[in-house]
Amino acid sequence: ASAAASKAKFVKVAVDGAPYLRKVDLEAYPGYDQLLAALQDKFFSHFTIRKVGNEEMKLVDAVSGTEYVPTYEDKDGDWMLVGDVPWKMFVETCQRLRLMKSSEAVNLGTESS
Amino acid sequence: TKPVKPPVRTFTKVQKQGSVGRSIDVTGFRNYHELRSAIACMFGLQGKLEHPGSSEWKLVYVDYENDVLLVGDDPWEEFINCVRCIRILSPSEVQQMSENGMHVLN
Repeated sequence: ASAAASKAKFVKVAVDGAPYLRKVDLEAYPGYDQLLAALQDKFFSHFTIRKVGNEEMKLVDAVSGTEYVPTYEDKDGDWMLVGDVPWKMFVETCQRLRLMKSSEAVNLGTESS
Repeated sequence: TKPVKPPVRTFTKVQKQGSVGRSIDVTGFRNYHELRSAIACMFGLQGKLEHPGSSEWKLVYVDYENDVLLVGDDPWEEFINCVRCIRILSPSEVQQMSENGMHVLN
């Protein structure tokens, strides 16, 4: 963990409906909150983060009202909800990020809402 | 799944709708700023591409996994290794692609 500052891990970030992808250095952030804040500030300026309860994180397009659920592709090629595993483990296994429209993420298990 | 090592290619196509395409050697530039300035000059778009945050014009590229990405997020060296072609998007194209999805470029 002490070597984190010297390395970088760039992954692609896709947003459903966006015209192009972006890239973000996961090693540049200390945790999930900072990553989502960066996605909001740096990449999608009209998004706001809405936290549902304590666990579930969503990004909301303030203009259209569309909600996005952050998901990632792990080393096995599976698409998983962002936020379940410890941050360090996430950084190691995350291959790619996708902000999925909530309407398409119904099967991801959002029973709590 | 590591990306396949891209084949050695000296020249990269730069395209803009309605204009004749150009080919440039990206390794001939030292950073994004030089690249942006050169492309702006080639297409008569001076002032529209140099400062990505302040313009509605977007410079995107297709990488060797066939994804369309915004130019400038990668470290420069990484970009040189994965760029396959570059495309200039006008404000109206960006708008149109947001509505129709990303298949427009593919």
